Amino acid sequence: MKSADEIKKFFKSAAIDTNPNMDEAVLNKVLIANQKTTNPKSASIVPKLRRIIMKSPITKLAAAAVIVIAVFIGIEQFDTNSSSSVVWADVAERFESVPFFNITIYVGEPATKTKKMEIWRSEDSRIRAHEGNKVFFTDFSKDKNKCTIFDRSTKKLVNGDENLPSFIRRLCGNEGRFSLDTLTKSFPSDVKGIIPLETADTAASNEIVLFRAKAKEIPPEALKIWALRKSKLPIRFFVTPDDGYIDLFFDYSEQKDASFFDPGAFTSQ
Amino acid sequence: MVEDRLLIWKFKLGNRDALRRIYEKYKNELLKLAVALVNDVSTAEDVVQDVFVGFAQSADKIQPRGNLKKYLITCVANRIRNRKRDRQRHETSGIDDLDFAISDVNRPEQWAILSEELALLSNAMAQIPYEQREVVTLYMQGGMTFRQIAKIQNASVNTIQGRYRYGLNKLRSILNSEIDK
Repeated sequence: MKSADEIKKFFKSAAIDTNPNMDEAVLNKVLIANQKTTNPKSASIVPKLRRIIMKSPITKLAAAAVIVIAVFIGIEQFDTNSSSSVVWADVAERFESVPFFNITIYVGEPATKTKKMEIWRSEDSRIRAHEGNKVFFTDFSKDKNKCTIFDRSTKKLVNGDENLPSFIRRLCGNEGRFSLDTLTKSFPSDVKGIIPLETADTAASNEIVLFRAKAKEIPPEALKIWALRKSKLPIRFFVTPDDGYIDLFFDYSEQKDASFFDPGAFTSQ
Repeated sequence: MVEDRLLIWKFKLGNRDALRRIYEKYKNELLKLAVALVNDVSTAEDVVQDVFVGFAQSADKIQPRGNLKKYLITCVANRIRNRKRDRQRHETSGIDDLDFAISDVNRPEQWAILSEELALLSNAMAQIPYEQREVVTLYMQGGMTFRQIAKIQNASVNTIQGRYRYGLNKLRSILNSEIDK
């Protein structure tokens, strides 16, 4: 190796590759950091820009040319890639923006019968939940920690102003809003992130993204989350802590009437 | 260049796909640069991750007019310099810099996967003084001019050219002896 050019060639030929799982995990952190500092002031750029453009005909022409080029490049560069990779931050963010949903939860423990619970959330942050013979009503827009409990068959008040049941608290923490990150953090292990699980390139994998936890204590098969690639909505969350399992199914298809979330309407039916 | 400006523009307007594209476009290049500068994969990964996180948090400060690649490269170089300075402050043992031998054993969550050539280059670079190494790397791999490097190192262009010549000569002799083995 004699000349600077040869060293330069050696520099260029020295390749580096990256681990795709870590790529996603780092990208996830980057997107979360960006999300936390989303800048509402960016809209002010538009009027500023308009003032500059309107100053002279030359800049008007140049701006028009730039816009045409930008549109072409934008269409080519972004539209083909926008839905190709989905990271956990996208799914978590999308879930928090959903106005209403229904979650069915199955909890299986050794030597006990599988428990089923259901949660519905209305567009105005009211919650109705069923667990065994109990019906829970709570209103996150008022008091996010209290709920009213009724007996499902007799429709009589079991207890007023009770604390939220644990299966709801696991989903919404103390903040009174449903969050997938709160759910993943509620498990007693060091979950350092949620990353895509590599799956075979099948027709299903074109529609669905599968995620796993990045944690020493949790093997890849012990926590899985399925999300729709296109809408980025989670559809299933499965975790096996110790010997049991918790399986959540998410449904966004049916919006319940306001009366469904009203304790008064429930007792008068 | 036009694509980068468009990406920055979109990123400043809150487009997350633009940020994703910037990350995908430059992550390998920045990792390679960091590995050449610090000769430690784990530190290089941390630095590049910090740079991207910092970049993601500073949408309002970034100017769409600037050169994105050079901006990110400068961020990596500055961050490594800061780490080196912090480390030297904490250690009085006279260790010259951040160098560690590159391990052949891949960590389970290792991000960067080095080719043999890059490992060889990184080990060779570790044997030349940091300032010369930085000049050679930023010039050869980062495509920066001596004037731009002079700004980063806060030195004159002549000094930078001298560091480049010395660094290149040393690197050449190290690589030649490595290849002869």
